[in-house]
Amino acid sequence: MRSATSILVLAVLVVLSVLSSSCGGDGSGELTVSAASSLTDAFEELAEGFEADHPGTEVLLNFDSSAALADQIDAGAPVDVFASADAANVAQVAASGRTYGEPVAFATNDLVIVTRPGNEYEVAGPGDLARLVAGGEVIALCAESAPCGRLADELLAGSERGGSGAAGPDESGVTRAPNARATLGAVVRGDAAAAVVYRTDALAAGDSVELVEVAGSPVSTEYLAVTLEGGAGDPDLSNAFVEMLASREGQAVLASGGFR
Amino acid sequence: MSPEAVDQPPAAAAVGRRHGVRSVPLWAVLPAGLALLFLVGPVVGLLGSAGWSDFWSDITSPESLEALRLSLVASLAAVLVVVALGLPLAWTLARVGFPGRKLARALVVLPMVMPPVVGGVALLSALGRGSPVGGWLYDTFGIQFTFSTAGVVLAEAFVAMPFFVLTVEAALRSSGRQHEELASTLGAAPWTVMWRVTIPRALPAIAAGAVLAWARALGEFGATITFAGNIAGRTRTLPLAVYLGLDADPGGAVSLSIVLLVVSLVVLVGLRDRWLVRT
Repeated sequence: MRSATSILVLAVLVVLSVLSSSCGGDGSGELTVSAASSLTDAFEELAEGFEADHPGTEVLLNFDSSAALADQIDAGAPVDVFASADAANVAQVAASGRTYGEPVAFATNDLVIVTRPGNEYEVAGPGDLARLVAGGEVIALCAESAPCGRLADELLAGSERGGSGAAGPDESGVTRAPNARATLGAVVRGDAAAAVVYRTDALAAGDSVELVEVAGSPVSTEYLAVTLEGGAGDPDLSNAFVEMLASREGQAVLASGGFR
Repeated sequence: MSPEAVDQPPAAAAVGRRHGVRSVPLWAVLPAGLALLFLVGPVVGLLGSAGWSDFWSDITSPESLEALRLSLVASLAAVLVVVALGLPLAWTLARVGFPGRKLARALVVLPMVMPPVVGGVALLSALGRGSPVGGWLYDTFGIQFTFSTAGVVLAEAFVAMPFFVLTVEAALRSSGRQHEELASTLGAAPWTVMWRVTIPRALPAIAAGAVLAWARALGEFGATITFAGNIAGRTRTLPLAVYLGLDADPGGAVSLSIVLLVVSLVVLVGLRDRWLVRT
């Protein structure tokens, strides 16, 4: 009995240590990259190419909202490269002193409006969204805490002040999804009439939504990549990854996903 | 554990007696203490991270009160749905022998063991506007459950129903049918037997099941945000407000979490005789 218990305890310890070390990535050829979730598709393709160009290297990708990733890094997560969807979270990480090298801007993403296929309400711009809500429909935006939610509010406030002069949509008809993909999903399924999402997500949804461009000056976010100290990987490898993002090949992959 | 786990070597048992404690083997106490620490530690951490000076203003802010009001309305409505539909179901499962009863019983438990988010996706595919039934409801009657308070009630009832049905069915089965048969022999109509014998005898279980279902409904998150979305004042219940407030206002999120924790404690204390076996 005693031995059975010690085996059990040992097993638990082994499992825990394996799990924690695989998250930590202490192998020599590993590079841990924390990236904004809107980069998911592009970075999976880019990491594959990077591994092919650097034999023996394994790129570990960690996707979440940029704010959550910055909090993880501040808490000591062993990350080599941080790719953020906005500058604020890079500034937060830089304040902790773990960054080296300058942040590199490698992509821009615009906010667009998506509607159900056919655009039954003839939405032409952000000023039309209030009309949908007034008519009893629901529109989807990201939560205020997520970068895409902050940007969507900016877009709607802009339409309130400028162009159309219409009031923003009443919150009582706005569902706030936790992230950009969930926001898009509400329209894809047909339950929400329209949503404000990143162009890249809208393109990924294909024919299940109709994309409405925002005329005039678009609301955009610039993606920044920065290398970090305290990761497990080789600094040269980290620099090479960031350089790859800005390279012609890297830019081509990003452009095919709808980034500019 | 195998039977020999209980048996102690004579020496160890003697040591236990000398200390006035009945056989306390170290190999069991250490992991047990670890397990208890693991369960209680986070709750203590939650209480420790609370900003008590802001607690009252956090939970009485307009957003919190709105979420609180919505949570109460939706969870109580969900309990009504659960009792209205769950009581006949529990009675049928306990009293009516029909082919496939075992299967029906297993299906009732399903929402309890499946991840609530999956429940939300299931509700979406059954009643979302893109589904055949949901689309028909919208086109014919203009009824849309997604993104409505009614959708919150449905999501909560879906996850809470099994708790009620299991509790009541177990009570009905263990109470037997002698009293009901006696009443019938004395000439009571089936309807009278139901209302004058069966339900009064099952009342404590009905109440306990309803409280359990209410607590589950009040804490519902995954199915709600998936199926009913997150609209302030319409579908943003307390757990959703906690989750969304975590980034923007961590202090407020902790305060609301404590409100939900207190409700759970009150339910636990109220039902202690059913759950905590006296020794």
